[in-house]
Amino acid sequence: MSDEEDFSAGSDDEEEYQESEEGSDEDEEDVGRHRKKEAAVKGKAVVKEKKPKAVKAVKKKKRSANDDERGGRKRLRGSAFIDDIADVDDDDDEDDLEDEGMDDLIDDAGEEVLSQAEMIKMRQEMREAAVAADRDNEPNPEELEKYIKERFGGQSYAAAAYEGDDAPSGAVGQQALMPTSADPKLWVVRCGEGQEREAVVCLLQKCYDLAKRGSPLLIKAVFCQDHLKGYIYVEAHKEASVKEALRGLRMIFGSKPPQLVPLREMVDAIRVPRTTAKAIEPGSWVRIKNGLYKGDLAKVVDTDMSTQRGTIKVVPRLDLAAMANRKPEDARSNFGKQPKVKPPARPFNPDEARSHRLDVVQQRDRATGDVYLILNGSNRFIEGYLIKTVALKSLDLQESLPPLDELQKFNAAAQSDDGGGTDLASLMQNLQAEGGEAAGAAAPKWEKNDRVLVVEGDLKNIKGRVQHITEDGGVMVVPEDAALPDFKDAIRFEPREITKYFESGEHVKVIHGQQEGETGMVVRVEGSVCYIFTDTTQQELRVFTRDLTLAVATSSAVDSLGGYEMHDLVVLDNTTVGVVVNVDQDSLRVLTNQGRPDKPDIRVCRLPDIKRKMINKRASVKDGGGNDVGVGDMVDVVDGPLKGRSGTVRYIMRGFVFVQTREVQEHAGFICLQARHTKVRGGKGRAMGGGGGVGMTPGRSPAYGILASPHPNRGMQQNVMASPSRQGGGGGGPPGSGQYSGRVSTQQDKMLEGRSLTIKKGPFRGMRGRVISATATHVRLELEAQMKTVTVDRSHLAIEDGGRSEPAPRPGYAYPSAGTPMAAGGRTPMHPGITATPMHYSSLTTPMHPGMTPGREALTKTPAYDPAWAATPAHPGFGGGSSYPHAGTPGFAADTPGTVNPSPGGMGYRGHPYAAPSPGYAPASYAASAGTPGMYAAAGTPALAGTPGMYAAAGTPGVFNDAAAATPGGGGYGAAGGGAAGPAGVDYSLWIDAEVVLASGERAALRSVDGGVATVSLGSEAADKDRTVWIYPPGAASRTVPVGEVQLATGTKGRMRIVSGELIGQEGVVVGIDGGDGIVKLGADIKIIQLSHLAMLAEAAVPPPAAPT
Amino acid sequence: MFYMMTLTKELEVHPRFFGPKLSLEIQRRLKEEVEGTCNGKYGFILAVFAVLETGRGLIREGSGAAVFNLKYSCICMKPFKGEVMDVVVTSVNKMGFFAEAGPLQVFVSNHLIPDGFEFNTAHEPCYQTADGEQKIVPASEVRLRIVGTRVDASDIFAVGSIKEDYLGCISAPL
Repeated sequence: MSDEEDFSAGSDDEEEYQESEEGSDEDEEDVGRHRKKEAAVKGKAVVKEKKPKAVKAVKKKKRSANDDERGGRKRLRGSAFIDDIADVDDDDDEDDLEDEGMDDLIDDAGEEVLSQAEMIKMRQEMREAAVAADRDNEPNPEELEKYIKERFGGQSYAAAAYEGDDAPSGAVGQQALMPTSADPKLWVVRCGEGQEREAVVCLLQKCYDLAKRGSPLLIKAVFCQDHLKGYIYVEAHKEASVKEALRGLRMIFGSKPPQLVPLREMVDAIRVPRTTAKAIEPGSWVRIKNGLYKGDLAKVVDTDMSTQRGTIKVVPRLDLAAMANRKPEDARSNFGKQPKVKPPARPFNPDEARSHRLDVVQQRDRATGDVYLILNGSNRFIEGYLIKTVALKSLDLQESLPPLDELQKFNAAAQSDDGGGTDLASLMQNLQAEGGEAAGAAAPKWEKNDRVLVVEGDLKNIKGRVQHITEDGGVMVVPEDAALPDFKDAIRFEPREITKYFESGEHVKVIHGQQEGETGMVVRVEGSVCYIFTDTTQQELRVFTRDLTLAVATSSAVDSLGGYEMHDLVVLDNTTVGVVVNVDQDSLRVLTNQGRPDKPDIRVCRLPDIKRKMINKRASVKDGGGNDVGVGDMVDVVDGPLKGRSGTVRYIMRGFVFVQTREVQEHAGFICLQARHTKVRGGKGRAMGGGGGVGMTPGRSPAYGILASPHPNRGMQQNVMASPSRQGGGGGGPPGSGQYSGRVSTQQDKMLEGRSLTIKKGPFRGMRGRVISATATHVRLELEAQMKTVTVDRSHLAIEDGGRSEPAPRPGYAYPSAGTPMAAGGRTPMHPGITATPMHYSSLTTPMHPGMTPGREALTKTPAYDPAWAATPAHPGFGGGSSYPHAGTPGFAADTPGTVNPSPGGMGYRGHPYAAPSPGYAPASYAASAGTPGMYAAAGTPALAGTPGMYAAAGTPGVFNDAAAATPGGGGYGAAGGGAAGPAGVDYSLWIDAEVVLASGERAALRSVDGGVATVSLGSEAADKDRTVWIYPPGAASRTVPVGEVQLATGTKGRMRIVSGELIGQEGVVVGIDGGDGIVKLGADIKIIQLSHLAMLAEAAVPPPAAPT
Repeated sequence: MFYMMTLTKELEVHPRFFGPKLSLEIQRRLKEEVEGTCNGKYGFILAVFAVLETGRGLIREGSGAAVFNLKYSCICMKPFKGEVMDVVVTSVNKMGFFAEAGPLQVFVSNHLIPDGFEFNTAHEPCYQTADGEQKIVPASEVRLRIVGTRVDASDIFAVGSIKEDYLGCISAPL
């Protein structure tokens, strides 16, 4: 049987039904009364149950009961019911009725229209009559009670429910409502999916119809649950009644018998979940769960509950090119297949589609009047959006309003000319208007102490602070308004009545949406949208105020993802490292070293793309000027497109520096540069060449001889490590290199740390281990084979990788590379075993690495070697107890055996405050004792040293090679060779015009240097006020002397030039002398510099009186 | 706002400095370590004025270093919300401009720049009035009011506004 038949039959019945109604005026009073009662019942039910469904069920039950009991009046009362029920059902099942049942009904029975109109008229009359009756019969509670008892006495739960106004409420009352075994039972019946409501309505109709015919259905109620697909519930005393009632309904599957719902599950069956999931309805925001548009935001245009399908609007992801290329025959096979790559979401542009020769047709929807564009006959578009009809199941309802940025993206796709989508204000209004409830649902993320503004009610515009949230969702707010100083009691507000409130300048955090976790400062508030200037990325965001909360001011947002934090240095692959400049929800943005300064390479990396985090605080690199740059130094960019900027070095990696600067806003202020494009600023007190700052040259300056204790100087090793070749290259440049100083020496030998070494001797012989720490004599190793850490004598180790600079472990000797005799010399004074016998070195120095003589060639080639070397003995620095500053110079690091070995013996000790056991320790004697007569004899005679052959012949190969091996910087000689610079890093060109003391004790002005010979013009004494000064008139007699014989004159005030150290080349005025240091005025700065670094400039005339100290 | 503060600092001095220049070294180290730092309570420490007390120093066992509890006076700068200050513009972009008042960095969003100013990239990025009379470019001096500060462990960042009477450009770059 079709339901059409059913319905038409029903309508016929209805007609006669009405006739009978007409004739039943005498019953009006009763009807009115009943209605009254029912209204009361309704109210009660609502109060008690708060479940619309349940109410409905109960109501129906009631009605059925009435019908049963009072057959005589049934019809009449039924008419009243129908009125009532029809209303209800119109509300509930609008769609079903309108879409399906009703239309058919009307079509099939044309005359029905008239009868319905009559019916409505009649109902109205009835209602009026009922109301009038009510007015007449003021409801008498007792009477009512009696009436109810009389009618429902037999039904336990019903009785309990309607016992009167004083019915017990609360748990007991609820308990009394529970069904008992005496009550009708509930049966669950399988029906067609999506046809539950239809089934219920049909059954309802059938109930009326049959009741009117006099053979009422014996069921009490029927209902369905939206969440339970494919089932309806029928309440009846007997299964047979259910079957009888269902017979003939096409949506009910007859094959499966009704199943009894156990008594204790009955309540659950009618319970509607309190936290009912909101239904998807037109205007809702949804996310698509699968397919090409998975995760995309869409807006519901229409829904069809009966088919469980909805029409949505989404920003299309079209690959027009692919569509165009697809052959018609493939179209079918590709149908439904997703492209491998998700095309970007872009608004549909018909012109673009046409340009791909795709078919675009315009069509007007007959029903709505909307104009669709139809692409390829299948895809519909409105205003650039794709209109799709999909199963509601594949949609995920967005309970709250989607984040602003997504909304913006969605709305930006709109191609309507009014541009409505992009205007936030209207967007906001739209949102609030259309999704009033949705917005309300999004809001309740209140936190204690949120500042709120009342937006509704009497207290509108009052500001306050959230005190707490009550259980039922109310928000207790303490007013905090200047206008209401005495008003301090918390007031309860509904969430919709208040809104979060921020002022510009406040520091806030985003707690919802794409930018969740971002912090920033509010720069502007515009209604419910805040403009935020973010802390980390320094961008402007627009965020809803509801998504914000006040951030604790002190905690800066440390964004991190999987252990990687903002500003970390991370390794991406073997050659790529980068700094994390932004942390997104599931990816990091990394500024890598692969880009160029003008075109930085920013990569978006997911966690697996990142190999590891790098911590390399100790790295250093040479800047454009050959100075060392360490982490934390300020540098200026001197080359490239970013020239002129300055910033702080955060990381150093393979010649690249990552500099953070305030002058760049992008990428968290980071820029990646080649180190040579930078120049380190003088800051941080990194005095150069051992002389600059007070005591900044531990282990180097004899002035602080205590420090020359056998520390291997870390600086040196770093230098060696950093770039042996570069040193060589830079040898001709300023010899000052900060790293010898600036750093406080420790006894640790950092260079070995982390390396794997094999133990060659001792109890752990043969084992390998990783160096944890190393000192001059011992190394702590973590053994690979055993879980233990052992301390091993250095001599027991073999340094494996044949390292660039390790000649050999030497017992009792600090550090192999420190085996540069210079270093040894530096520390000798403190080293009893070594002090007296420089030769000791030689004997200890075995030719361990004969092959490692990169420096040798350079060395032997350098003609400049000799002058410098020749100069050494006379070098004032040596005599004055500050020979070691030059240790810092690459040249010196390159120590040639010749230069250096004599120095401890011959010079270093002479003026040395601590260890000068033999002032008369002459180079010659030293040389002799050194056991390398050829070589050290050469030391006395510069000319000889120049011949490479000499070395070969004279040098004990061991010494020689060792030294050379230990001096990767030996290349420095090569560079130094051409100029006046000496191997010891003394740049004699800087001495020009300096005041020097000749071997004879005369003072002279050095006028020129050529090779190893200097031309000086003798000075003459002149009296200046109360002191004697030397002046060097231009016409004075000149003389040529070997550079080795001249020393810089010191100890006077006046104009000077710095000849070594960090500030090399600068000129200034010595304004005071403090021990071995000069107080020097360089421009506006006052510096304290060792006198040995200063060359006093020879004055042609009497110098002006120096400024007082 | 600037304050003359008396603060304390614990300073460890390596034994190598024990000598006649110890006090000099202490002073130097103090300046090096303290000047230019920032803390939430006192703001930026701009300059050490004087070391008031060094105490006697305590030798730390093991290292031999001496620990001094220094009391020193210094000049601090702490920005406050509502404070009006003069700043020098460092960079201008479409979001607004950054400016510096000594160590303090201030950002003025374009929302906090009077409506009369337009962002203009024609020559160099700047904000200028329609008549071109006032122009905010890097190195301009601007008077602004601080509308909010963010205090981190080692920095203070402020957001300023020039959208008020008597605020704005006070001198163009030379």
